[in-house]
Amino acid sequence: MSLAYVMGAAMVRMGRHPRSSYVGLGAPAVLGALQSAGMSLEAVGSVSCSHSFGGPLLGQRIMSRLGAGRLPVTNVENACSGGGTAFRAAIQDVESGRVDVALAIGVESLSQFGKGTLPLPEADVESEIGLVMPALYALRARRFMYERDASVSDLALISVKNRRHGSNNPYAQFHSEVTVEDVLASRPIADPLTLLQCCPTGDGAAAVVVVSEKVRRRLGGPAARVLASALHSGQYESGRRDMLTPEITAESAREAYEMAGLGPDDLDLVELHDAFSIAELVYYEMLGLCKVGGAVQFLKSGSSTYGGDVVVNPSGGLLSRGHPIGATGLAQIVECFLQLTQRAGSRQVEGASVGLTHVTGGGVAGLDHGACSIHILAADGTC
Amino acid sequence: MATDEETLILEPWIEADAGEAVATIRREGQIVGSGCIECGQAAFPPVRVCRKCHASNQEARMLANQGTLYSYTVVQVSSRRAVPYTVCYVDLADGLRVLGDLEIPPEALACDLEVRLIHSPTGWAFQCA
Repeated sequence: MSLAYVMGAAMVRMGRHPRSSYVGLGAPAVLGALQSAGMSLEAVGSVSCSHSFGGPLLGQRIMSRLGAGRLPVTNVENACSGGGTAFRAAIQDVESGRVDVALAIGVESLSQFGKGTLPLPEADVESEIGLVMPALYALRARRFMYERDASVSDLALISVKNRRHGSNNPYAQFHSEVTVEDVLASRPIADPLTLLQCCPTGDGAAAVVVVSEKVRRRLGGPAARVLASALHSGQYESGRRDMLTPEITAESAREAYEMAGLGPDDLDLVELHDAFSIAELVYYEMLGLCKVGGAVQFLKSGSSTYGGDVVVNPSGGLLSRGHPIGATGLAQIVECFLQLTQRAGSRQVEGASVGLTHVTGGGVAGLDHGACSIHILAADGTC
Repeated sequence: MATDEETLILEPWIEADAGEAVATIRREGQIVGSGCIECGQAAFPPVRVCRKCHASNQEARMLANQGTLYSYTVVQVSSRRAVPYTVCYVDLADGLRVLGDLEIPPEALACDLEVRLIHSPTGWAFQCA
């Protein structure tokens, strides 16, 4: 089995781009990723393309616009974990020895749906009763506040931190900072969640070039080595479920740490799925960044920002960078790659050498979430 | 074309419409799920194959109409229903968790309240027990 390396990564600026198309979003990301790897389109051996609402054959449409045909293209749909899943497919293609260069693309255009909550594809009983995504996270937030004696202001501090981080990220949808007062005074969405505790709807694309050890040696220069790739599905539970300890993330993390041969203490940065403020608090605990019950203290002590134990969401996370569903998992890899190759500019995590990315989501009645994907990458200097 | 009598022709399932299942509860004020005749596992919405023991021997079962309020939220933005509305997760006495409407005054709301399903104009709603 070959090792897999990220040799190039790029993304388009996230935001509302209603005049752009799926191909228009995806193509520049592909060219940017190849340019950052110092490679040409001809070197690509396979393509995995993630999206949720882009219609049939998106990967082929993007590649054909760039003049690249014949090669195997797989289109991937895994809701919020789609980008992580496409990345995993590229890694598997390289690790298996099938190809030396695999391209993972993630694209989404959500401005086509206007504003508000996203459409749910197939009605189940819970969505019929009115369980939209913000409501699901609001139920989790309410329970968290009850069990942990936490306040809405505690939740708001996540938005404040991630908007601060995002203010230094030129790829982010939002560049302005917010205060706790701004967060609490913003429009109520599903209490206790207000607008500034919810990720925005927007458009974006990201692409990542994964290469074999052989190609990585030939190219030289900075790269990131893939230490772990985990993908889990939710497990149906008909009865009582502890919404504060989602097993899908905890088990994916356990597998990833085991695969990488390291633990949460070894991480310099984490890009996690903060679709809503409450999510980041829950995932601190499930990723083992702090002990169960310690999330609010971990946040308030500054442990999850610059100068702390581990910088969580240096990109600004979903709350600030934005969350074009199928693109997010790869946008996290782009951020991780820039950090590990010391090219993240004013948001650089000093000396970053190990990073973890985490996407999870999708609403299916009876599951915590439909899918979860976790990756761990390590800096790999010139060799 | 020759057909082999042993050939297994699979027919697709016609799943109960989610909207209809909810409308029934709203109309009757009672949750009807299924129970596994082999292992006893209850399910809502009803299933054809038990998720626990995978048996296809299932019967209709009336579910408990009281339980404990796990969590709740007032929804102000939604693509599913006219807002605002209040939804909650209730852990029913017979072990199932269900999502439903909640009709409890805001000042009385708290997690872990004992609640019961009532037959109201909106149907599928829980109130204080």
